[in-house]
Amino acid sequence: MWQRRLIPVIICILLSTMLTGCWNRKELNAIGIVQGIGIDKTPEGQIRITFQVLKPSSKGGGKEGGSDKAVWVTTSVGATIQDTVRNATKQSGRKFYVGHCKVIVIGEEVSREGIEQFVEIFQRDHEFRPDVLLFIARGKAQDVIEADNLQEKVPASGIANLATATFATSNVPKVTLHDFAKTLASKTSAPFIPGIEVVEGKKDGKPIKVVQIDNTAVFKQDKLIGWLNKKEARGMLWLLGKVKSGTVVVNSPQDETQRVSLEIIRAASDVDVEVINNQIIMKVIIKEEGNLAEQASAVNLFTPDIIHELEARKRAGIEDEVNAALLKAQQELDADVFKFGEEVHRRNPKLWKDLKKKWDQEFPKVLVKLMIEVRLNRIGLHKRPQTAEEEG
Amino acid sequence: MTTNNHSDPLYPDHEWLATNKSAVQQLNALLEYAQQVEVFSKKADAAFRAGQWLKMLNSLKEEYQALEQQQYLLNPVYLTYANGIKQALSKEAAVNVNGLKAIFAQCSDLIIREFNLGATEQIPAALVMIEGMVDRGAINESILKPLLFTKYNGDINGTLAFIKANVLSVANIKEIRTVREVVDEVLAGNAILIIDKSDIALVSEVKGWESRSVEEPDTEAVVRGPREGFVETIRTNTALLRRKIKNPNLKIEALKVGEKTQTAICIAYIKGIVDERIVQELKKRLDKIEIDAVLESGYIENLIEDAPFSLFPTVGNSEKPDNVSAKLLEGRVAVFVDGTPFVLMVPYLFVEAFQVSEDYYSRPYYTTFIRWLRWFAFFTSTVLPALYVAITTYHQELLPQALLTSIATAQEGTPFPAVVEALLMQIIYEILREAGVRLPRPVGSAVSIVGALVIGEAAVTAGLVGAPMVVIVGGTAISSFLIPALSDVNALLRIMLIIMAGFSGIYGIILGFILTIIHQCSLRSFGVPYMSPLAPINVSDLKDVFVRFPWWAMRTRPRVLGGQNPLREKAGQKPKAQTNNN
Repeated sequence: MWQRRLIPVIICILLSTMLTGCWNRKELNAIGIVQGIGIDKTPEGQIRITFQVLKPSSKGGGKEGGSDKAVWVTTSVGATIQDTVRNATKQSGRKFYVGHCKVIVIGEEVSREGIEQFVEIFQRDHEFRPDVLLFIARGKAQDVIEADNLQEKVPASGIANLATATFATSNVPKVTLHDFAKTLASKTSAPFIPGIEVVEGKKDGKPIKVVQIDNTAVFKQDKLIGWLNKKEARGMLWLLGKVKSGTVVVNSPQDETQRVSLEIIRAASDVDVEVINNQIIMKVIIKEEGNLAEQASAVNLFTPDIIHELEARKRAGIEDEVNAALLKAQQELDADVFKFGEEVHRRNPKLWKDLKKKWDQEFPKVLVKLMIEVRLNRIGLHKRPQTAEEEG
Repeated sequence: MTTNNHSDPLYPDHEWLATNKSAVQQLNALLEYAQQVEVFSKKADAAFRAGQWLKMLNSLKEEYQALEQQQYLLNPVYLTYANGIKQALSKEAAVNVNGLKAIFAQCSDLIIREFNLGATEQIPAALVMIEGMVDRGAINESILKPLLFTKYNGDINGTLAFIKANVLSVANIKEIRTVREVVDEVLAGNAILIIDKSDIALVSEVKGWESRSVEEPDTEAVVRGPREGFVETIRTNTALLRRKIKNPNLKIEALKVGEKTQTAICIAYIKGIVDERIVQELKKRLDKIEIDAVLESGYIENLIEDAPFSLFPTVGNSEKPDNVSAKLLEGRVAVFVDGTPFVLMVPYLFVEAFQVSEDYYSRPYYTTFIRWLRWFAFFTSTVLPALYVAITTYHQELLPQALLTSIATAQEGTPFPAVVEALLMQIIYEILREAGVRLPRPVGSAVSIVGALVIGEAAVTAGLVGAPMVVIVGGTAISSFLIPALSDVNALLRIMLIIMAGFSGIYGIILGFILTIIHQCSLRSFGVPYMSPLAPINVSDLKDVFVRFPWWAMRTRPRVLGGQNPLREKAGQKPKAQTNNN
């Protein structure tokens, strides 16, 4: 008898498992896979979004097709991002799927007005990845999204690769949506996003438009206020301890007309806060290790004295970059891109309580005491240039 | 004559019923016959008197023959047998022979060789056997020839003892006294000697029928290891086992199952190693079987398994003596069934599907790697198509960009949703597989060509299915071949998971997986948890699950089987390098 009662119970349990489950089944050939998004504003003040959407060729096998772009680009206009994305379906006939969106490019003009509303929806929407890369277009984002790429069939992937590759020079930062939102949340730190611009390029002899990464946009809260050049950007990254690789070029100690490239192998920074007579002093220790990568002079650099001299020059080079960044950020932009405020908060919470409100006034006054430790570890496989004299 | 409605005339079994009624029935039958004879005589008499006998001659003749035929059935041997009584044989050879003739009426393969013993004594005797089941050479040379050319004295009991002791040159001879035994022995393929004036028959074991020779089985092929496999004859099979384990503690208990087929069954186990409770339980379950026919061990498996409603088998089988020996030595019990090379083994655990006899003959390192591969392949072959369906229709973000691009490109323009496509391909694959198994060998290659070309190439080119789906189904199929013991479970689970994935994505797969594992953990095989030694965990037994320890390290038999003598070998068997004194 008990079995007869058990069967409805089992059926109920089994059926209840069907109440939940993954919602929203969408076949691959019914969605448009968005690779990149560009955000601009129309003259009427509406949002214009440019989508770069994957165009799967029906021929099968992704390799053939040659120089054809594997994407198509569409734009759509709306009052909000959500509205605009929905409006885009009027043209595409496929629901846009942004889970694989690689890059978000925001137009310079929009950025000056504030980009928090975009960040908000990108974070709220479950499809967007937190590690989508952010860029600020110098000009219109639409141009960047529409531009070609010399290597990749999907230009958005090209932009993403570009960011990773350029980041290796430590001249521009790599900023994801998550990074940006995190910095924005601290209220006092100034977020930064790498800039991107459209330049002329050539492919198969024909002029085409390609993109290149250049300069770094600095924000005050969510509004773009200025740009850091390559040198300043590197200086900022030194202070943040985010330099991972790159080269420092110095003059050769023996022959001032020639250059020596010193490769950065690893670097780290340590920031401490000291307050003396109401003066906030940031004590920054930058530790760097590197190798000799190349030299153009015809002298033997492989002596302890010269190595020390090279180290000194490298230290000076780094200091120069850091000072340029400090000057720009403190005096010109008054934007705490170095996250000094957060450091003060961490090290001296009591002091921060008072400072928090007036950090904009305090930040330009902050003194930075730099301590740069550099090391030149290896000189490579080559002792001296062939033409150099041998030491006694 | 009335027939007994309550018992089966071919093989009576309900003796309790028959014994009470038999006397009455016998009398009834005789009475009825007498009445029929009376009717016939009157009829014939009337015909003669009326002078019309010429006219009626033919019909009278027929009637007379029918009566004569019926007389056969009145033979006491037949009557008692038909009524299901354990009746002793008659003292008269003719009665016994006629009785057997009646029992085996219309059995054209029965041979009754009637002859007289001795040149001078002329004692009537008969040899009864079934053609094709006995060894003709042995009958002629070892039985008939000595019987016919020997001198006997007149004493019948003495004759029988004399024949048994001095005449028949057959290894296995026994005396039987009942009709039923005679019938059984004849059907078993033995020759029965019936002698006049003796109610004892002699059984000479001269079984000899056409059978397949011992050859390498198609299943369980090995690169290294014995190649012999079981055959369809149970005695050959038990002998193959005995040859592996030369020990009187290897017990091979015989019984018969199947009321019509009388199939011989043997339970083999090693006393002193096996857990006696398992043997008792197995015997209990076998005793309960009341079925008319057992044609293959699958019948027995169905009737004794622990979880008849489960997808998972709880009774193992093997075609190879070395495999069965190894299982017995671990403390399992084997069931041999006559007529099939597949021997059942209990208890059967889930992990056994991942163990192959060759694992124990090869060196442990590669074996261990292969074990992992088998687990991986099992997991893959169950889940992969479902995972593909779930990811491409619900969780596109899980795919790397490049993979998504190529899958999207391939799926572009295919007419069916991924789940339908997966099911379709899966079913087509199963059809191909089944066709490959059933088809005659020469046609078999046609299937593979059609399968490879039509399914693999043309379907993709025609845009009916995406190429990745073909890759997935193909990979799944190959993976499932790594675990042949679970291939049927695998196919069903796979289809179930594809459907669940189609309805609710990865959630569905996880749900299905959890349900399956819970179900597996709830199973038992003859008292041993099906998932042991994994769940409940038995660390000592894990030395033969994911890793196959070298033989010097596998000192204990699987403890989960509860055997009495857990130690397999002495300690310190690990070979040591000979140190060179120089």
